[in-house]
Amino acid sequence: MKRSIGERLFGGANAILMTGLIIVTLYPLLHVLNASLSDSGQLMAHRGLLLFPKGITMESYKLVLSNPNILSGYRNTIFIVVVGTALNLLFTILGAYTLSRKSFMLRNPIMLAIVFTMFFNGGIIPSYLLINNTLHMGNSLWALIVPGLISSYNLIIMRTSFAEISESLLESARIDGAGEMLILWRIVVPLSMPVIAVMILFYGVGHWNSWFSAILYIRDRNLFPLQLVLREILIQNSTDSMTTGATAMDKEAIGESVKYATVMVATLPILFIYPFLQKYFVKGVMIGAIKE
Amino acid sequence: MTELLIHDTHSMGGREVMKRSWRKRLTIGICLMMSIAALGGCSGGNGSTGEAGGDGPTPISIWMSMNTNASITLKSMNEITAIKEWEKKTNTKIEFQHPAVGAETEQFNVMIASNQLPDAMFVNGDYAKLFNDGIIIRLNELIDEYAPNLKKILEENPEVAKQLKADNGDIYAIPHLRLGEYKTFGGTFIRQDWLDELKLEKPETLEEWETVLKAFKEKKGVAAPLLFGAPPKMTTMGPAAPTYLEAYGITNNTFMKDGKVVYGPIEPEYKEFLTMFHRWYQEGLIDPDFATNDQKTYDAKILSSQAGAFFTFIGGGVGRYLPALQETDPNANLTATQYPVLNKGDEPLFTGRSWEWSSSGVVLTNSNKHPEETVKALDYFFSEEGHMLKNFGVEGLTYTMKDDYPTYTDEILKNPDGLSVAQAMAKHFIANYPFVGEDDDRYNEQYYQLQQQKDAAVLFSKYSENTLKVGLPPTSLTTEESTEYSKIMSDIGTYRDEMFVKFVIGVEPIENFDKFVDQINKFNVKRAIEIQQAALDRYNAR
Amino acid sequence: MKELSHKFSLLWLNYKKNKAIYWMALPVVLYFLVFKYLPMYGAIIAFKDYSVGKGIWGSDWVGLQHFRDFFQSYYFWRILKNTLLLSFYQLLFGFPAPILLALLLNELRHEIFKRTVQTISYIPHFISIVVICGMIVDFSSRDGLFNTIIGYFGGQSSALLSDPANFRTIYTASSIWQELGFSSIIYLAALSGINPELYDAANVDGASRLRQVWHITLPGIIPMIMILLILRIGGLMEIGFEKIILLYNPNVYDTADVISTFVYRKGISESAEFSYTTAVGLFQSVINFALLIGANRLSKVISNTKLF
Repeated sequence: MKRSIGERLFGGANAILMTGLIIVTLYPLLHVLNASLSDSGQLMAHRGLLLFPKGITMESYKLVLSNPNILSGYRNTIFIVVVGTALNLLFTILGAYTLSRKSFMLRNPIMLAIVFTMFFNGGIIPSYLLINNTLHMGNSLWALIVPGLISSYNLIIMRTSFAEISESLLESARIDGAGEMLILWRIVVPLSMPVIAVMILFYGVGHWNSWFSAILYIRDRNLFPLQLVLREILIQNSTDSMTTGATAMDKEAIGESVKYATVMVATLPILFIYPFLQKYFVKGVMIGAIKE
Repeated sequence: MTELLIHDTHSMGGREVMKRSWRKRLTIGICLMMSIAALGGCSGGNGSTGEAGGDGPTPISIWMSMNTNASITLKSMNEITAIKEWEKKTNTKIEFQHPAVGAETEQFNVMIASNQLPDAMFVNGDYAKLFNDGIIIRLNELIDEYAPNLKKILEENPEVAKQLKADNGDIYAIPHLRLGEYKTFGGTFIRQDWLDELKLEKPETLEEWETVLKAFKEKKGVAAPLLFGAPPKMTTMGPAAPTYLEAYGITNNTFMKDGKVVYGPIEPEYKEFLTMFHRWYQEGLIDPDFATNDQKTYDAKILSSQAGAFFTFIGGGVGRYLPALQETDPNANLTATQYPVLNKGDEPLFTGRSWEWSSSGVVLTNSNKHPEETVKALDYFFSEEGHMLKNFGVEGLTYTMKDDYPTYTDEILKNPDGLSVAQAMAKHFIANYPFVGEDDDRYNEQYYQLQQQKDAAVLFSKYSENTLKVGLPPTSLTTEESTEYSKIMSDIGTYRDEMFVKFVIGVEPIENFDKFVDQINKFNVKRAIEIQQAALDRYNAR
Repeated sequence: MKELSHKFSLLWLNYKKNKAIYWMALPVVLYFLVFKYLPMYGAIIAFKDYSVGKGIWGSDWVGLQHFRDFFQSYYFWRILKNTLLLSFYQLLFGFPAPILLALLLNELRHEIFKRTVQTISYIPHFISIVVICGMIVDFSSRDGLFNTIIGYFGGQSSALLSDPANFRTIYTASSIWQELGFSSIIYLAALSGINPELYDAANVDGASRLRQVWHITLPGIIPMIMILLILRIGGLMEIGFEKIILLYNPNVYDTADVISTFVYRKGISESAEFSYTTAVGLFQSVINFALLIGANRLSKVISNTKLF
């Protein structure tokens, strides 16, 4: 397929623009990486761009990774991410499918009711009483998974995507005798892999980053999720905790570099999810390319 | 694709099988959700576990925020050496419950809401309110009978008793007390090496300060001769401390003048201060970025030697900055300066002195089944034995008596496992953060290892008695008063902070000071002053 | 009555015809009922003087007092204006940007390059806001990066974050910087759902790439765009306060102080705090919900896409 000069120019300009984008958006990660490997004292005095670590040292990582709760933190969070995301998908897919069926008379009222909950809620205390006292989920990892089973936002996105699937395709399946569950799991879901991949990303990242619920419900330090452990490490080493002389005097405890090591430990694993999911985004274009 | 699926269903037997199949899946789904809820596992109970049994140790559960130094090496305060000793001596079994660091308020609130209270809690807050809501109990009688050591201290120090009691005489907490000499933990420090280089004396009056700062600017060429921060980005307890304002005899909040409550920013001295500070700003004597400074930029400017003088804390501030500075410049030196005054020979009034009662202590909740034993056990820390245990640990292990002076051993000062002094202390006893009992100056003297720190502690505390004349004591407001007061003061606070920056930078001309005062009056500051005055009168009558 | 029973019979018929759908929707509906609607009674504390000790039911009733306090605050109009303006700027510039990026990425021909750009562009989203703001504060200072760049273009250096006129720009630009890549992911997903046969047919017809984008690509993702836009408009009254707290200072209150930061600073005494915050939150939610409904109606008319 021949490309016009205009299109080729555009392609070139686009590539340049994208490269610029890479440089600008890569910087924050570079900054954090360098800072995490830097000596805290030198780091605190540094201003401006940080293109290389200052006084390379693994001190901060040692500090973070030697925290007694770090291992259990990872374990807990991985459990929450895997089990939580699986359950999220199950329920969200059910919801998105049913609410996208035009034949379902209640779909708009239910949608409205769901959207309503995005704006109005009862606050922390009633939810706490429900989960802790009534359902006895307090102090367990389930308290971090079940309350957030369905994200309304994600549900809406998935529903929008499911609604796009051609009705005739599904109709012919129905005529052939397929039930709704079959249609959902054997036709709709495989056709919607890009959106489902996005959902895995959204829910997965959500679980990975969450810490507030743990603060409320978890009392056993062994059940702390990763982010909570890291948050504690951060506060323990914070330069802001300069109160009445209760902080340690040693330089290592300044912890400016620890802040960044914490971010790296917290962020790096999740960054690798997206490249895995990327292949699902390529489907439509790939098929087109093959045809070319 | 559809063909494939149809093929499948036919091979399995068609429509009927499909119907059964989805229903089965659905049932599984719902069952899953139910069992998820049930599988939750039991929520940990919060009341004390185990029976007291006539002779066995009394179980007492205490909710307390875990200090960061302790949490680095220990999983819970139960493991602190001093605590284990305490259990033995008082025949108790203590169970500490720790909220996640940084989330104390939330856990506290939900704990109360779900009615799962421990036996005791270490808090710093509105005790009267907790009592009025029925969450804690009154301790006067219990102290009378079961806390002889504390009772003695209160009788010998009526001022302390006054601080501890509520307006109606109730005592709600077993307190953390500071009865020693050292009551101030921070102040203005200056680059002594620069003073030496420029052959200048440490400044005492505002005039002398201006001379020194000018010299720093012209001769040393630094960007921030006086490093400063502004609220709310930095707190007035620290880098935004109104030290220079206080040289005028007023401060930027409510305080006492001849026994009457006054609000500083509407006093005429405030205008004088603003005029001076604005002049300093124009001449480049104050850090031009003061309004945007946060802790990080503050630290960075100090460590890169861009700052000549600044407010910081003796322990956590000097202890960090000085060694770091000396790494690159062995001559660097930070010394403490006295709180500045207007005229030579004047004595500073405001010294950031803390009160004997730090406002924190242990309260007993309404679910405490052994209040007598609890009070008795807590009282142990006020005895001579308990006092030493709390502040110095175990004799032989963490301290030895040298000429009647408890000296920390190497386990603390040069810990073999590489722990810092504060961490080693936190592992064995409780001296450098609030806990039941009385603090001891000898701890401070040794904790501050650098000579500059020891000197600072003495210098800052020199005039702390003066502050008694101007500082508002720990009064208590009723709930209604408190609500009204906060409402008024929060709007005033925003306005005051905003206008402060505008006046100093010059965006707002000093001539408009009267309009500023008018506006604050419009916010009904008079009512706020009234409220505080009433609380003060009640306090004095205790 | 006849109306109602008529509706019920319609419902019953619908159920008989779509049994599977109804049963499949059941767990989802149950979830929302139990975990979202059941605890809603807690919102009542906006009308009470909530005290943790007295509990939700035991606390005193104060009616609209908290709302009145809020509306009568000296700063009410300023924080309202700032909240709306800041949100609106974010919408105006921040909403189209990811869409544009997704479209441009879609045009890239080199697969590995495309994947690399995608992966790298979404990283800033994961860096904690505290770190990002620390960078921004540093870059904006007198001798910081931004001023150096301004200097290259012949401008004057100044403390950028001290000038209220700059705040909205810095805030919006940095938000775009941080969220651009991550936000574009959903559009990329939508783009890959477009039937490639449409493109083939267009190619056969000799349509230029630009026309293809206009007639195939864009319409293909319009439903997703509209839904996300509606949801976005439904969040207009909300401005997350953490970022502003990290960036602002009293000098820029004029443009930076928003509802959430004001309430945060208010630090009202313990008893009223819960209630006051809930009341203000309720106010914001009501406005947001109204905006959402309005946007939904508008979208129905303009693009035939609607949320409900």
